Amino acid sequence: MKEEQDKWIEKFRNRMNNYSESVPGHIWEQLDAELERPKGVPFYTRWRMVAAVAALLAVPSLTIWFIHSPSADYTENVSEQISRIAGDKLSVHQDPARMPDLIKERIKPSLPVPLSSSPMAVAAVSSENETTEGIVIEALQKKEAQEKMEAMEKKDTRQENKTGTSEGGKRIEDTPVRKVRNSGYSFTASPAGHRDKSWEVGISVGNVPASVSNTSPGYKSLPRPKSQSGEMMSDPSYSSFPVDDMDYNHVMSPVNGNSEAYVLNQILSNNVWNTVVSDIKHRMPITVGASVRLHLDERWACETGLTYTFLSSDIRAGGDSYYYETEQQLHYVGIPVKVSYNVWESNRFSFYISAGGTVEKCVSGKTKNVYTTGDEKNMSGSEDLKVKPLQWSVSSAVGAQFKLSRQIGIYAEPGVAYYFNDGSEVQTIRKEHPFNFNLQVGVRFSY
Amino acid sequence: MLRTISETELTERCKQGDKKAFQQLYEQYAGLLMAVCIRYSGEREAAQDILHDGFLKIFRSFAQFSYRGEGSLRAWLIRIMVNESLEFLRRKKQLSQTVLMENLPDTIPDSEERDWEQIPQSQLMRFIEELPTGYRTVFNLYVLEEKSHKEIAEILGITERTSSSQLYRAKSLLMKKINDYIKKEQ
Repeated sequence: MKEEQDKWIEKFRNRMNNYSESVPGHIWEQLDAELERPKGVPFYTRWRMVAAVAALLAVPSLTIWFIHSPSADYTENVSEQISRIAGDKLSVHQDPARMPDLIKERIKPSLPVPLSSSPMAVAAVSSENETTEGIVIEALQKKEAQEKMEAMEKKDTRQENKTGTSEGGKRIEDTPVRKVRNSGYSFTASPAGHRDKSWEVGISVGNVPASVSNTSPGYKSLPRPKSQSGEMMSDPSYSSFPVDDMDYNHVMSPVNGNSEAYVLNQILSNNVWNTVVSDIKHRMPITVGASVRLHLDERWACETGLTYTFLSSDIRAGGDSYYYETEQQLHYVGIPVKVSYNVWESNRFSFYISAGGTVEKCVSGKTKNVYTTGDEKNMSGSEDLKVKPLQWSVSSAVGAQFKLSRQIGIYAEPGVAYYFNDGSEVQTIRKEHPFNFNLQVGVRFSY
Repeated sequence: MLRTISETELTERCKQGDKKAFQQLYEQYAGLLMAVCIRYSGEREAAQDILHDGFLKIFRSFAQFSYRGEGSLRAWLIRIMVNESLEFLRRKKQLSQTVLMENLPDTIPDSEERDWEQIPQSQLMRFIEELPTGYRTVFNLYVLEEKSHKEIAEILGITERTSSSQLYRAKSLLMKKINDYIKKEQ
């Protein structure tokens, strides 16, 4: 009887083993379209968004700066000086063209920004502000799928913006105070010429003041060595079908004597009827770097260097007592290239805007797994994780530098960066939040 | 038309994310995998969605596949589709349904001597589809995926006993259907 049964089953198996069904054509068409569509935003939109967000960040700061600009204070000071020098003959509001040459010369270097440009600049930037915001909104509306996420990011950026500007405001308030203390000579700002082709080297540390965590149903997995999970979805080989040793692709590293497949299986089978949740937490990235800055002229400078970035993420997936935890650590080395433009400079302070791009290569990656089956914890050793594609990003920042001495200056650069999808399946904070606010602080040594 | 390439080459190119290779992979396996989705889900409409989602997973996680000789690609693809299908059933909570015993035949009809080889595959497929979900799942896993009752018990969170009795019932029902069909044809 048993044998007969097996024979029947065998017969059935052989009959149906290679059976194919016809597949409606629209399925491929759909898949084709989904493969065609880049996972993120179209390239041109990305650039526009980067530009827009950079402008969103830079413009309000500049606006505030123009409004509270020390140059406004100077105007009064200078006017007073003029009045004093020229005596009653010259009124404060007199046409500068008719001022004696001596006075004009005294005024000129004291006004780093032409007076007349201030209101216009304010008007220009505020209207620009509106249009860039328009662009962002327009861009947002275009992307249906990512709408929610981007909207959140936009909000983030705005919030960051607010803090950015208030900081900016404070920074600027400091300036006139110093100016007053240093009195007259401090007005001889930005001596032209002496900066030509000068070098600066610097070290910096930066981070994205954000970590991301989310919870979602099902088993999610960080990429695994020699095997990578799909993008934000349950790993097909893990989700429920147990692993048979014959064609199982993952490395079976023994964990406390149990095969990894075995403990995973336990987790899967014990959660079959449970609600399964995955928590992914991407920790705050940390970057340190060294840089070289070459001043092309009084205003323009280009900067390059070397950065090191550490990204780490944790995941916990499964039920209450049967679950697995994965820790992912990635080390990147990158080369940034930036161009900066000095907006304003005094002998102590300089404010600049910068924009550029960075290419980063993951030089080392590790994952570690801990499987908890009831009371038992099974640990697998750490395994190497390779991320082959390069990580490209563009960034824009506003910077403020304070010179401690002739040679040494400290600076802070709040900015935004956009990380392009590297096309790998590795989950990082940069995939989750391609747009990021970041803050870089550092020291520069001038030669 | 796509030129035919070896399985190893196809694998290699799929790993690189070559779209043409994905298309060839699809054309080569979609039919077979569609059958997998149908025999698990028992619903042809749903099977199309499962196939779509499964293929998307296949394309996106192809990097994790490592070629282990002939048949390993096929096995991997089928496994993903089976998982996808089980996931579907789980979402529908069909796997937790208790199987009613009422439509069980009293005796196992003896179909051995009858020649059911002549029944077209598509008809056998219909029979599988018509099985209650619990029977069908165990039947699929045991007969077509060649899983042991121990493995099935782990996958479905049932006991080995349940697995083997469900298989027995699935088989009995199928035999009955086959016999009825042959009778009708004659």
